Amino acid sequence: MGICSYLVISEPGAKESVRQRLAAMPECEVVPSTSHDLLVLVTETGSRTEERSLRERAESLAGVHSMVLTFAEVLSQ
Amino acid sequence: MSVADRREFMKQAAAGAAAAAAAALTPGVAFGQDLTRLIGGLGLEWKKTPCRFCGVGCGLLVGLEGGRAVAVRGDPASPVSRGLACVKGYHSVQALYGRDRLTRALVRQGDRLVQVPMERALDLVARTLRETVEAHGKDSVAMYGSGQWTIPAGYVATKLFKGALGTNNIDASARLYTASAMTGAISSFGLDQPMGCYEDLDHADVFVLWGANMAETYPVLFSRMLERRQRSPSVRIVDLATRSTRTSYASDRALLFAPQSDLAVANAICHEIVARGRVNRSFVDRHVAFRRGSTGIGYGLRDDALVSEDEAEASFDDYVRFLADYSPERVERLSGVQAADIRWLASLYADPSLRVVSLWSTGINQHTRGSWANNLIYNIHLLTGKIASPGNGPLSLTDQPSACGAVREVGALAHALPRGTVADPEDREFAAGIWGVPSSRIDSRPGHHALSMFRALERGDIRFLWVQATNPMVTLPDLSRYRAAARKEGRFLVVSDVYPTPTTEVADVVLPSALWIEEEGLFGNGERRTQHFQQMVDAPGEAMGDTWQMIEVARRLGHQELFPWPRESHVADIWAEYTRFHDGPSHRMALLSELESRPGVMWPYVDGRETRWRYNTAHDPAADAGRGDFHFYGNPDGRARIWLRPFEPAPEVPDTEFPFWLETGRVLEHWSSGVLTRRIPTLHRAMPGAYVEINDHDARELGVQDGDRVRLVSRRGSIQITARLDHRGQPPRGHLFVPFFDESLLINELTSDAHCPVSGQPDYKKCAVRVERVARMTGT
Amino acid sequence: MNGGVDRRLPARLATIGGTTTLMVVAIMVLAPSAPPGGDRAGAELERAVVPAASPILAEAEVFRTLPDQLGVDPAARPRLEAHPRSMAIYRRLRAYPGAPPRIPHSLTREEAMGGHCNSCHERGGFVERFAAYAPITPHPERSHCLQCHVADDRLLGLPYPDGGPDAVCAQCHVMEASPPELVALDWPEPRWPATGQVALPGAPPAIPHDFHHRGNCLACHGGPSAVAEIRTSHPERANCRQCHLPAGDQADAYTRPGPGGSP
Repeated sequence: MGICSYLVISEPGAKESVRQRLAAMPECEVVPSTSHDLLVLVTETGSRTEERSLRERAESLAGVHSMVLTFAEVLSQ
Repeated sequence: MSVADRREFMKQAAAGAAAAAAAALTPGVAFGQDLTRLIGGLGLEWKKTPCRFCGVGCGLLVGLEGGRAVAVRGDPASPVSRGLACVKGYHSVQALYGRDRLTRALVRQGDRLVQVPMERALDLVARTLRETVEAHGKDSVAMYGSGQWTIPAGYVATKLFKGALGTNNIDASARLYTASAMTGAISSFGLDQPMGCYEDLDHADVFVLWGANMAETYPVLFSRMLERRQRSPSVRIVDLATRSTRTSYASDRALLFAPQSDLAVANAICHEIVARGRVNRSFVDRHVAFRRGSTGIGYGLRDDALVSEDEAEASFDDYVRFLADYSPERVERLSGVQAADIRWLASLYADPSLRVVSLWSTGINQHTRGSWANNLIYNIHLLTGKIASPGNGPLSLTDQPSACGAVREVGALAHALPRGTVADPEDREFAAGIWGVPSSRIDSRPGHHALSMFRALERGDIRFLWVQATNPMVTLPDLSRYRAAARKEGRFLVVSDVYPTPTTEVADVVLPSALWIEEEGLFGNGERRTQHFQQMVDAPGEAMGDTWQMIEVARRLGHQELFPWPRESHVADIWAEYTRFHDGPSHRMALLSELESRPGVMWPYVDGRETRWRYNTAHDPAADAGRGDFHFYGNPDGRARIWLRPFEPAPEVPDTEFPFWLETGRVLEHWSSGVLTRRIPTLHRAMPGAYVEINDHDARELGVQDGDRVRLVSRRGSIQITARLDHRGQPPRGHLFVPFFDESLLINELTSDAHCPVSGQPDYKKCAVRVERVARMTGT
Repeated sequence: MNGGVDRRLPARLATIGGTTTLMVVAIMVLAPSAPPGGDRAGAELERAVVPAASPILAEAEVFRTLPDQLGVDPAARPRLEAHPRSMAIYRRLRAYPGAPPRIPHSLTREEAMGGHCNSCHERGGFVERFAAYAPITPHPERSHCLQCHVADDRLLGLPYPDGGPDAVCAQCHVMEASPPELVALDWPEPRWPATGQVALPGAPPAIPHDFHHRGNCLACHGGPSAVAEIRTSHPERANCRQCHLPAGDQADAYTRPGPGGSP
């Protein structure tokens, strides 16, 4: 199990659509900034591979400009 | 920790890390309540607030459940504290729930205070105030407020006394903690408040702490400084102090100087910079003007009025001649700091490749030449041009959560208005215009500053005094004198507070106040940052916010047209009115809606941009870029002042009868007079009572061992107290240190009311005492 | 990273696991002013680790552990778990809270004569001989270690293992289990101080012990040799006692004095 967080920088004006698309993924909790084209994304996945694939899917969403990893922790059960 | 707990914890940490990264990447970024909830976790509701204690203004998240505050986290989105707090902040919400909270109004009947309904107490306050004015004139009433006020409280107090009652008898306990910083900034730059900000701590290469034990008194900023040194091991922290403390131990170099000699040390540093030809001539030629002021200005021991200093033009050559008295060798003899060290310090300040921040607080400000001491630190930065730019600058730290916001910015002081001073006809006209009162209502003569207010109470010139959010019967110097003044016949004392204190004990009326997050409010911290908090929990019983108490009394006095705001929206309405005073590029403040969603906004806030470095034309919208890189627009000629301020001795120095210096101050666990922090069990157990630190050589000579009781005696009073050797700090020989938080051991019975005659701020760091052994207790 | 280290070297940055930056420790020269030495204007300032004079004993140790002591040797990383230090082991080595711990490993003849402990325990680091990180002493100025720390005679003189970590385990752990007590002792399990004492959820835990010989927080709570349960997650926060206070159970809850202030 792993928990990561990212800062997601959206294209201008695309913040809400990015929020909706990310929120539709079950591994994701997403909080948009109320002032800038930024979103906080917290993810919970079962493995490193899952995390990587989730990140790739998120990065390829329309409206996502870029993503920065801000936290990563792997938990042992 | 269970897996579920750990998972929750990790999610909080993950969200917090993202918020902190966002705040670093995009200053001023705001996320709503959803992120706060995610960071807070524990299934609680979380709301943001600045901390209630010192003036650093750390961002806290308060966890709420069932109408009570139950947990605290550092707010990772706070640009001040970035998710950290100190032990006081982490336990702060427990201060709301002391069992002896004042929940009902009390009125004196003979020797006793008896409970009455709040409405009746407010009636009595209003009636007595009106009768006192009728019988003794408008200047027989006074308000003594606090840097613990919210901005709305400071504003309403100012408007009520200056605009409605027409007296300038309003001052605040901020006078005791920060007044010299204000007068020092105004005399050097023409305007109050620092030019730099805490972000300077992230850029500086050298930190010079002028008498500030930051490890205990400003821990979060101290940690930020240590972090800076972690990232860049060449960063140096220099502790210039009068005793050894935790701060000394964490510093790269600790230099001890004799009390009062800081004035000479600062001049000696400038002497060395000049002698070595390391003056930043292009900066000085373009941005500095030299000034000579009055000297031999006394210590305010007899005169109540503050000195308004003469200002005579001087030249660079005059300055060089003035500095001739301050050669490092000569100052070594005066200060005990070796000439080599003075030269080394000067070399750090002068090296163009090093960014230097000077930090200070009450060590410099509580000083009979406090205003000058501020000028002298500014001199060093002006002479080297290291000012108002990232990592370069003087930064005065503030003791109270809103001393800057609710007192200095609002003008809740005897001489001031929300913009400008009472002495200036244009400023009076401007204030009267916003308040909707005739400008003749505002008196042009300054009122009584804090100490002078209590002296006027002693004489009977003041007959009615309302004290809010402060505890003068612990914190005033030469305490027995002023306690006797407050107890005199024919004086009416109203005290608004949250717990019983030595001050409520001498009151005629006690009004129970709401505390911190029990009402909506705004604080202004030590870096020009305004911070908003919502009401999060209900105040107990009939407790009422200080602001609303004053509005209730103002309405009873017939001033409802000046205070027309409905209770639900009064904070927003007051903010809208108050910010009209500052509506210009040099002080514009953020809208309330922005303050509600962000962990604080720095002014000047123009076109959505905070100003981190005032007077710097690349940053400050009020600075004229036509003036080059800097524009010190507070002075009419656009130049900052280097002042020729001499060393003058302290009014009381140790002698054969009273051979020790006594210094007072704070400790990590307790804030100010301890009214709040002593009720927090974690803090009380760690620091249950005051003590006196004695140098171990002195103790040996006196025959005193660690833990012995001793009697400290000054010309004004004496106390018995436990001696501590090798405790929290270590004073050099001939010095003692006693913290002032303990109302059972009132060290201010001993301190002197000598003060800086420019700022009115007393010197709690220097008086002469002797130590007497008390027979050792047996069987303990 | 052991032995012969010049304690006056400037402290340097270290990293743990390549990610966490650790604190730089510096202890001031505690003297009224500079040591004599002429005009040092512009000269680099040496950072002395040991205060020159008049240390405040209660405070002197706080900032003493050097950050490179908390570093993990990357080469040793795979064997990190070979000798995990847990709270159970920590307690088994102490007769009561605050007792000096027994020495849980064999000593060479030289070591048994009373020397060399600090070559591992002053600065910590990975020790091949025991396949473990040496715990850092919070009081390296005390050099007569065996005065308080009891060596186990049964382990005295065992040779250095040359068969790798596994060989060490086999030798020592068998012996540890064997000897019976001479006389049964009526000694109840001591009341160990509670860890994780917090006043409200999320608050920083209190310090449940005194600071006598234990004032250097990071020596015991930082780095790979720390007992897992009490290892800090944030060793980079150098000023520990900004947030963590002594539990101070000796004082009653605050009660105000009677009217009038001074008793």
